[in-house]
Amino acid sequence: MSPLFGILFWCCVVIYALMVAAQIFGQAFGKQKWVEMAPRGVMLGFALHTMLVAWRWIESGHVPTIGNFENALAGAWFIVLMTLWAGWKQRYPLLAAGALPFALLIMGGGAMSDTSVQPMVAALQSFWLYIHIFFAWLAYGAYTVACGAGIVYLVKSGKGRETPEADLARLDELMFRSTVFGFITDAIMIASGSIWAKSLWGSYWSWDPVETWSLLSWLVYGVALHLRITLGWRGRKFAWLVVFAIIGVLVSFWGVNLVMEGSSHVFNVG
Amino acid sequence: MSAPTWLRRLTSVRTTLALLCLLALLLLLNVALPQRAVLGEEQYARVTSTSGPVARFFLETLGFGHMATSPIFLIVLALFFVNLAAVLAIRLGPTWRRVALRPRSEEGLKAWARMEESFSEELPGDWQVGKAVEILRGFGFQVRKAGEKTLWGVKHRTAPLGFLLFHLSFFLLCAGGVLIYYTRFVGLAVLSEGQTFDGSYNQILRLPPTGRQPDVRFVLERVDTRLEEGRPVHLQADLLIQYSGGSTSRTSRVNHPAKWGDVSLLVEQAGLAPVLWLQDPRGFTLDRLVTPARTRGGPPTEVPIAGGSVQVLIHPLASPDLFPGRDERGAAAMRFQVLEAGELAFDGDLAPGEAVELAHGRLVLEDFRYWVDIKVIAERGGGLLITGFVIGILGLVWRLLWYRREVAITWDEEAFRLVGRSEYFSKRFRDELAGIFSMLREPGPTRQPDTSGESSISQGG
Repeated sequence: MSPLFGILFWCCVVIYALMVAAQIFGQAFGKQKWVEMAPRGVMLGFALHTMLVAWRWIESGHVPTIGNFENALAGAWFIVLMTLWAGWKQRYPLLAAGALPFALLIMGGGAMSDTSVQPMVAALQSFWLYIHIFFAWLAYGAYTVACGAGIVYLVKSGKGRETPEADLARLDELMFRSTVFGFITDAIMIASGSIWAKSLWGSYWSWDPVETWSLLSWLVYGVALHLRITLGWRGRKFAWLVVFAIIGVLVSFWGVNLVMEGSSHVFNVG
Repeated sequence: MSAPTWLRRLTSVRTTLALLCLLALLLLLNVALPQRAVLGEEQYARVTSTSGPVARFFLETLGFGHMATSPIFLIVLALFFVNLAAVLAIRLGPTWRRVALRPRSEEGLKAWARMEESFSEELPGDWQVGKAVEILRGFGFQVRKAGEKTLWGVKHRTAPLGFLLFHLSFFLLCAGGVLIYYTRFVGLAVLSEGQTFDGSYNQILRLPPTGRQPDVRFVLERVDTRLEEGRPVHLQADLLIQYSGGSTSRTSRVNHPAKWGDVSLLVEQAGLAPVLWLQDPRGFTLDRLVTPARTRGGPPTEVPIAGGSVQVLIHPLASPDLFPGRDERGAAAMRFQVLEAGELAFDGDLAPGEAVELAHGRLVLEDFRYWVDIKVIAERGGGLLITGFVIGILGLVWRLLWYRREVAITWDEEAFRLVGRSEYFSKRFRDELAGIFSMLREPGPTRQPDTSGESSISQGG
């Protein structure tokens, strides 16, 4: 990572952090203007973030998918993109305060790992990598939006709050829709990963911790959807569900490279 | 317990949820506890031998050290599939009826339209059934007349079939998994360039319960490999598959295994294989061998020559950056230690063409070849798995994104009413309903319902 790249990266992190802080401040002290202005700042940060992703792509010669840093850079980009999109579509600016802390967490974790540009090792030279990772990012982005909406829902529906019913209904539906979208894309991610694993390791399923975690978190969201669709869990109950379910996703995200380092399922020479 | 009661319990969503939670818990234990499949037999045995009695109870007695074959996991999985099968059997009829393009009775629809959440408005002067039908069709609804003054429309009526498809996919995945379990063979062959594989594996990693081994023979003709910044970016092995009556070429690359029938040949690792000659003082060859050596890290590779009278230790390269490309092998060097009758006779780097003089002859390094690990895998059932994946995802999309929506319009001389419901995304559907309502209120050209062909409105029954 060049010094300029590093400076811009941290500028981006700081912008996101300030905007999250502004929304929390606005919400806590009743300054609606702060809440509504923050998405513009997030857009500024997102423009910078997009430039960084493009820079890294050009510099490395491949989609930023290799190692913790690139995964964090691109994964957080998807989270911010989906947060902005959902916030705009749902006319809900406060969503950033709920979802962006996860992007910050991921970016901070990525920055603490090896940030050097790495060559595309043979094991990753597969068409399936892009399918697998693209859908993983979509799924994790959607789950994060659901979690962010869940956090906002819990705050807005707390005791003593007088939030209009329509606002809560909008958040409730956003949680559900994001979970549905995440569940479908997560399924595609698992299936494509399994097909790729067959080509790379010769086995569709190896009970590798990363695979198992992915299946586990998918199952948890499956349970959440069953509870919603068949038992009618809505509102605060569903919000708690999606807030807790994100834990599995975070473990999957960080678990990947932790396991890859020690795994024998990596192409090696010697 | 009477049959209907146990059947109700078996097919209840609470049972499904309980089983899903149990499965999730077992998967959590799978990650938390040491697993034989991840650690390998030796390391797993070391872990269990140093574990306390409680850990051994979980790992060995309950079988959680190999979750996929643990009796508890298999019982929960079996119960899950029984639950799934029972739910599917019970839901088949109702789902089929829901999918049929058949409106409810006019009375029922009228009662529904009188509910509080319906939209109602004074009947426009130019009210025509044809216009209402056209509006509903414009929103993607299939429309049926349910009576003289009642219309019924449904959108994505087949969405409930997605439920069946999604849950059916689990059975395909299960069948694929079982088939793979009973047919999967994995063997490891370590070959140097020019060597023939005749079915003698260096290690058999997995034998299927039937004991069947694939009948495959091949020659490793050539290996290409490349490292950048010490990281492997290319590995390819050219193979000549031999069969009765002929031979055929195949290439195996990382991520692109060679295929021969239901056998896959995967290359995983590569290294240098020094070609060594032991000659007597007169220059006659006593021994010649090609030795796959650990090239990048690990302890030196020990090679006994001439019945062990000469011992050669080949050290890995000092740095992965020194790993030679195909055309650089002539200039490459590895560190060799040569012991003759237990005494160190040589310790230093050797390049191809160089020799070590010994008391009773000389050891010549002729060349460096490449060696590769080739995994020979034979199994059946992959097609079922992939079909299961595809059907499952299609089912999810069909069920969750093309969700079913239903509307009814009733009218009399004074007013009309619009009511609707969707399986989910109620807010989104409410917006759609408001759009339909606003168009129904607007004055517009009058139309007669098209009664011909596909677009005809039939009387529901």
